[in-house]
Amino acid sequence: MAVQERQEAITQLVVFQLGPELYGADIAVVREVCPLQRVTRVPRTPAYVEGVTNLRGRVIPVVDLRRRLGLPAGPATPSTRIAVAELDGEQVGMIVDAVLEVARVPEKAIEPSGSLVHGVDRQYVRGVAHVHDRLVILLDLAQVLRNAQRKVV
Amino acid sequence: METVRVEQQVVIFRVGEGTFALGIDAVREVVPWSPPSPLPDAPPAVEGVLDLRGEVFPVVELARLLGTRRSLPDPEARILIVNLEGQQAGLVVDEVTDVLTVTQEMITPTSQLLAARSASTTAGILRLGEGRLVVLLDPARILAGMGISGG
Repeated sequence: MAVQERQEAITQLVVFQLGPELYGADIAVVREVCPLQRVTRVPRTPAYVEGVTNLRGRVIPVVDLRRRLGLPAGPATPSTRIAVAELDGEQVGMIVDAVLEVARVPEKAIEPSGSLVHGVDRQYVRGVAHVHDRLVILLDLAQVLRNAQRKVV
Repeated sequence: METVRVEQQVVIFRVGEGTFALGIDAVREVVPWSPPSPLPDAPPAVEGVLDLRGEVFPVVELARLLGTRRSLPDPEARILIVNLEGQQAGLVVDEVTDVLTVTQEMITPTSQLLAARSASTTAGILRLGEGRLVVLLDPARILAGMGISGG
């Protein structure tokens, strides 16, 4: 019984960095992480869409997560990664500054965010959690990526 | 959806930093750049008209429709003459690099690309060798973007 409770209460988060802040996404949604590779621009897409990339023969769109969240742009560095999310069988790459770890966070330790978390729109934030004494902003990737598609004509 | 064919030929060309493709069905010919004649009351995207052996076509800077810039000076550019259901137009590009035969499975329609679905001038992404990707343009939407395919 105790074991079962514990299983239900733990969330595994992929923790990544955008600028100075740490963000987390449910590992169930993040399919893989790969180094930054060539991204081909697609005309007439919103500014946060970097383009498309070829992931082992599969073409996937790539978004600049900083831009998507309205954060200041940053340069690509050797630690820049593409985190690949999968939503309803569709994959989307997200450019992040670095992927740090997969953290196990008790569901109870996830707190609702305040009205505004470091400039990120509240609708994209599931909550905040403390991981090794650092604040991690939990993103709702379904909101971040699906709205991305709906908002544009 | 377009009719599904096992193979089709595409014209590969460069505009600025980008490499693009158009189905060869839509491309009638490729000619060297020559200055278009100004056309009063033309839609804003139309540079002017080109007289090609007595036929007159509206000419558009494709770069402008694609939100990019051409890299070669005008005299080195090429004009793709596209023909779509009798509607003809010239598209200015930097250079034509290849004509390739591709199969349907090399094309990922943009409708399958979350977050890139809105790419209004793009029909799909063409996967070539060595991981290279090329944007396959939709000729009908290009003509619509020129404001000359009045339906």
